[in-house]
Parts: sequence; structure tokens; C-alpha cells
Amino acid sequence: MKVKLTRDNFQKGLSAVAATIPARTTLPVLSNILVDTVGDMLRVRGTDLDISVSVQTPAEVERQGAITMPAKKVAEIARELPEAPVDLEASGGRVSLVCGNAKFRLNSLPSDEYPSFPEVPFDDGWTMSSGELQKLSAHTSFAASNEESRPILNGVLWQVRGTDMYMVATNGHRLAKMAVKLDGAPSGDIDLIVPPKALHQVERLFGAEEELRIARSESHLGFRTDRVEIYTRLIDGPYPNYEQVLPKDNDKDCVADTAELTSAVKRMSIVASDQTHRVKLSFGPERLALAVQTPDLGEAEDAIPIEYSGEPVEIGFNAAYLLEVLRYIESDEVKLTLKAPERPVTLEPVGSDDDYICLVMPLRLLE
Amino acid sequence: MRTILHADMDAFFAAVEARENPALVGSPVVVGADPRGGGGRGVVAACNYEARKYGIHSAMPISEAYRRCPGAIFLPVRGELYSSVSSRIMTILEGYTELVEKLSIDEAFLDVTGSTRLFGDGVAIARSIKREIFEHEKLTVSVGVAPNKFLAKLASELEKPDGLVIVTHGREKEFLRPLPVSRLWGVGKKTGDRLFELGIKTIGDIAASPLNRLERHFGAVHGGRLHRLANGEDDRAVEPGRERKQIGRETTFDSDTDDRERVRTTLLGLTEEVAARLRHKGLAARTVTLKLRVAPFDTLTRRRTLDRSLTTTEAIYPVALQLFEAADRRERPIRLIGISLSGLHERLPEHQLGLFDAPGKDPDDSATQVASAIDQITHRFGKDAVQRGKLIKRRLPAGE
Repeated sequence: MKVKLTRDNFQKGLSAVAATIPARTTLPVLSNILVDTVGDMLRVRGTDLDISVSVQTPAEVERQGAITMPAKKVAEIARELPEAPVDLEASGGRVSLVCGNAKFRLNSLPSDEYPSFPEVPFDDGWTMSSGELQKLSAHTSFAASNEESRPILNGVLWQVRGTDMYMVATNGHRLAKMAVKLDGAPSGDIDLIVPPKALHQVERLFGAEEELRIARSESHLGFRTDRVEIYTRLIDGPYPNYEQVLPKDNDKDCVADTAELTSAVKRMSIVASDQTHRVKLSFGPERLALAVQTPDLGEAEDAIPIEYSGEPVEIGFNAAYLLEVLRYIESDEVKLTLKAPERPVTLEPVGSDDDYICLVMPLRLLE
Repeated sequence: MRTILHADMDAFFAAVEARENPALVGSPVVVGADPRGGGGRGVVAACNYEARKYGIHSAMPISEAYRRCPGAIFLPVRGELYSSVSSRIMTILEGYTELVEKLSIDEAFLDVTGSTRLFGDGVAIARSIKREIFEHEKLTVSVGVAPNKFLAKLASELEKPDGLVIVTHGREKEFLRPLPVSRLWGVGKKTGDRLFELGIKTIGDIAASPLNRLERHFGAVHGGRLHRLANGEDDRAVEPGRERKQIGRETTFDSDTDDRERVRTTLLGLTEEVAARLRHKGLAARTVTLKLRVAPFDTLTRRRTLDRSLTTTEAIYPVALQLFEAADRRERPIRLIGISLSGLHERLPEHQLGLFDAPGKDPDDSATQVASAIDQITHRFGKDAVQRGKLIKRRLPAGE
């Protein structure tokens, strides 16, 4: 293999795949990237066996071929290269990298030791704009669980029903759900449970305007444009019945200024317990009182004006969950709906076209 | 000679409740789960002395307490109230010495050796503490005054409630002599039975036994400690800053093992032990650390911090097992395995509700119930009275 490309293209290609290279691995070849030529493009691939990323970048290809390179070292080298074209040449189990007067010769592993990428039948897939998908993912994937006790909750549920597309994520204590309308619908229902890490790659590597080709096999999901491919292992379902836990009888509505509520909760959370982050919200006529009481530390209280006409209710929350959800409410005002102290509370943007709802389960207050 | 005090609040939760509502005074009061709602599940967190007359004690199933005394007043646990009263009481204690070691929400050791010039001798300080706590909080405390921690704690237990028992230097043995061996720290069901077989019934009997006899029967460490304690010797310091940072246990296999199933079972047993110790201290943990030593001598540790409080084997073991599976490369035999719990905190009065919980039911509830039932049985009958099926060593009948 022998190619020449600009330093910027080389850097871009490497940084695109760098995030998938596992920091520690039992399979040495995984700490490498696979570099090969496809027509007049240089293709860079990386995988941790769960997620695989492949990026093509324009190059002058003198001789076709494939080689692996130590990912971390090459990325560090690329960062320090002078402003000059990069020549890559593979021969005899080594790869030489020349840029200006800088020359590197690195040991490499044969490309046929590199794991093959998952086979996904793109011909049977569907096409959609990446912007919609990115929007859904950006508003929901934060809510997925990090704990391994229920692997299914480590994933984001992605459903398509006709022209409606949803994403839902939850850790069992709080949940986020967003829906968008699709212009063109793929045929048939789609139900996928996708690792958030893969969706973050989708957010990172595709432009919002790009048309994505998406397809799945039994165990994998693939996203593709001409330039970039992302594959991920899917999580086996079924996903818990989230619709059942979305409250339908929350009969008290509260509207608050999003920024005001956020800063009040933030202030209270400073004095909240490190363990439960417990803050008490008392909803009353036109006034939301916030209070914390933490043995060994002290107490604090605050209040903000709200629109509320229901009967007074006191609810305990993990402040961290509230703040997390409020971060994703982009409207000036936020609507909360509630029913009773131990029932789920919903948070939604006000005056926004987004079909977005978050749900937070309270802390049981024993007093 | 040191002067150590052990101060232990009398029926603390129930006493606080009675103070808040004077109508309760004189009636049996039980603090804990609701005996009617919740199908009578849950346990007694605390009860007052009137309730104890009916045989009710803490950790008893609430349904049993109700059966014994349906007329008792059953109250829910108000954790925050008790903590705030507790921290005011600890502040009172800290007025007498900086050396206050808080053992739990309602008891503490004080080393007042350096305070006697200011406040009078140990007895005077104990009286003054009792008076001050009663004046400020309308609560009674039992205090033991002794030359060391072991004797002070024993003394505070003897004349509850509102007790004050003094063990003066030089009379330690005399004080201990008639007490049953079960009063000794470290004497449970197993040691107690063994001592009984040896004809040893009182602490005085132990003190009179030759050290080498005890060492022969209980090993050098345990035997030596029994002998020292029975003679009233205990040199543990009062450690004010002593917050338990972690609770852990590890074991080295007799010989390095490739049998992963055996390692997993061992890990389950260790988890069971540390979880019981955790609950015994009234604590919950947030972080699980696994320690693994593979042959010949490489040690790995892996830890995970969760966003919920852990108290039971059911909650802790899956985490420990995942850490083990992730750390174990299955290449070399295993020499040692250990687990420790950190991020320790008092069991919280509040509970994060889950979206997928059955309404009104706490998913950890049943594991918690089982754990407290087991704790109770263990407390009465010894460590091995109840075991997980998986941990029972199978003995196959001969000839099979």
C-alpha cells in the first residue's frame, strides 16, 4: 500500500475512529486501526467489537493495500505533524509515515488479523435524515442506565411506527422519551435497543443534513453514508413496558421558569445529602417552595413563583435527577405534572414543537 | 489509668417519640413497620421498656410484635428526627472531651482521662452528662464508667434504663466474675457451647482457666483474647475520627484453584458475611470493591460505585460477580479473593422509588426482609444457623 494525503484529512480520519479504540483490551489487534484503500480513498477503521467505525478520506493512491497501525501512537503522531502532505507506505510488516522531514517507521500487524466488520444487509434497510435521529438521541440517551444489573436498560429503545419515530431511555428512576414525524416511513415496525455509545458516534460523525442508510441484521445495526459507516451490536429485548409507567392521571399542572427552577434546585442541592441528593419540593398556590435538610450538614430553603392551582403537594426528589432532566428542556418555561407524593412527575417543554417528555420518580419521604 | 465512658441512649427511637407525644408515656410503644398496612411485613426498629415487657424486641417481625401486644402504639420510623436529636446529644458529649467515638446513632465512647481536672472524676462527668441530656432533650441515657472500652460498654448495659454503673480500677475481675460468658465480646453461640462443654459458665471461670487451655481449644488469637477480656484487659483506644471507611473480608485458598465455580461460591459466602456486618452496624454501602490475586502473586482490584444504597447479599453479590468476571482473565489459577464495601453511610430514611416497581412495593423489600430475619436468627443461634443452600457443603453419604 502506498498513499499520499493532506495532514488534515489524515488527522480527521484518525480522530473519527479514535473513540472506538478500547483503552484496555485482551485482543492486541484491537488497539490497532485498520487502514486500507478503496478506489481513490483511504479508509480508516476501528472497533472494540461492540461498536465499529469506518471513515474514508480522499487520498492519492499509488498502490492499493491494507495495513494495521497502533492507534494511540499514530493519533499522537498525527497531532504533532508539521503542515505538509503525509506519505504512508506499507512494506514487510512495517509502515512508514513521512511528513516533511519527519519520518516514522512503525511495526504493524497483518491486516488479515483484524476482525471483520459485521455484515448488515443495507439493501433491505431504509433511508432517513441524520438530523432527526441525532435530535432524538441527544434528548434521550442521557437517561439510559450505567449499571450492569439490568443490561436492557443500558440501551436506548428506538421505535418506528408508521411515520412516528420514538426514542426512550431510562435507568428505572427517571425516563426520557422523544418522538418525531418522519417524512418517508420505512416499511413495517422497527424495534431496536441500541447502546448509547453507538448513538453518540452517530451524533458525532454524521452531519445533520446527511441522508443515512440504516439497516439491521439479527444482532447488529449499521448506519452508512458514502464516507462513514458505524456498526453496533444490538441489545436483546424485550424492553420493559415503558408506556405503562407514563402517568395518564396526573391531575395537577405546574408551569415554572426553566432557568429559575434549575438554579433553585442547584442551590438546594449544594446542601443536599451526598447519598440521596434529596430535596423537598412543596407545590402550593402560585409558589414552589424548595427545602433540604441534611443531618450533620444543615438546611436550606428557597422559593420561586409558579403557575399552580392544584391542592398543595410535597414531593421528595433526587436533585441530580431533576437537574439532569432540566438540562434537556430547552424552552423558557417547563411544565410539570403531578398527582401525589409517591407518583411519577413529568417534565415537558412549554410552547415548543418538540414532542418530548421526561419523567422522574420521587424519593419516598419517611417523616 | 484511663477513664472511659460508654453512653447509650435508652430505647432511643421510642423515647424520642414519647417525648414528642407525652400521651405515649407509660404505654408500650413500638417504632417500625406498619403492622396492618403492608400485610404485617417489616420489623421492629425500636421499642420502649413497656413494650419489652411483652417480649417485644428490635428486629422482631412487626406481625409478631402485634400478636404479642395488639394494644401497643405502633409508630413509623422518623429517621431525620432521630438524627437531629442524635447530633445534638453528640454535641453535648463533645463538650466534655474531644475524644468521642460515635458508635451509632445512639451510643458513643468517651475518653475523659484528660478532662477530670476540669469536670471532676469519671463518675462526676457521667452524672453531669446524664443531667445535661435530660435537661436539654428530656431523654435518659445509661452510662458505664470504667478503665477501658470493653468494661465501660458492659457496665452501661447492666442497669438500663437511666443506669450508671462504675467499674473502678482494681475491681475489674470482681465485676466480671459472676457475669455469664455470653457477655464477653466475641462469644457467640459457637464459642458459648464450646465453653459450656468445658464446664465454663461465667467470665470468672474463663479468667481462672489457664491460658494454654483456652488457646488449645480456641486457637492462639481467639483464646488469648478471651483470656485478656475475662481479666478485664482491653487497650483499644477511643478513636474520635474513626469513621468506618470500609467493611471487607478476603480469603486465601488452601491451594491455588482453577475451579471458577468454587471461587464464585466463596465470593458469595464472603459477600454474605460483609453484608451481615454492614447491616449489624446499621449502615449501607455504595461502592463494591473486588480483590483478586492470581498465581503467583499478582493482585487486581476492581470497584464499582452505584447510585443506590446496598445492604443485602441480593444487591451486592451480582455487582461483585460482575467485577470478578471482568477482572478474571481465566488464564491463571486464583490464590485469593476478597470483597469490601465502602461509601458507607447510615441507612437512609428516604428511598428512591422505581418506575417499574409494583405499586406500593419496594423491590428490595423482600431481600431486606429476608436479611433482617436471618440477622435475627443469627443473633440468637449463631453464625451458621441459617445458610444459603449454595453455601452448604454437601456431605455425600459413605459408599456413594
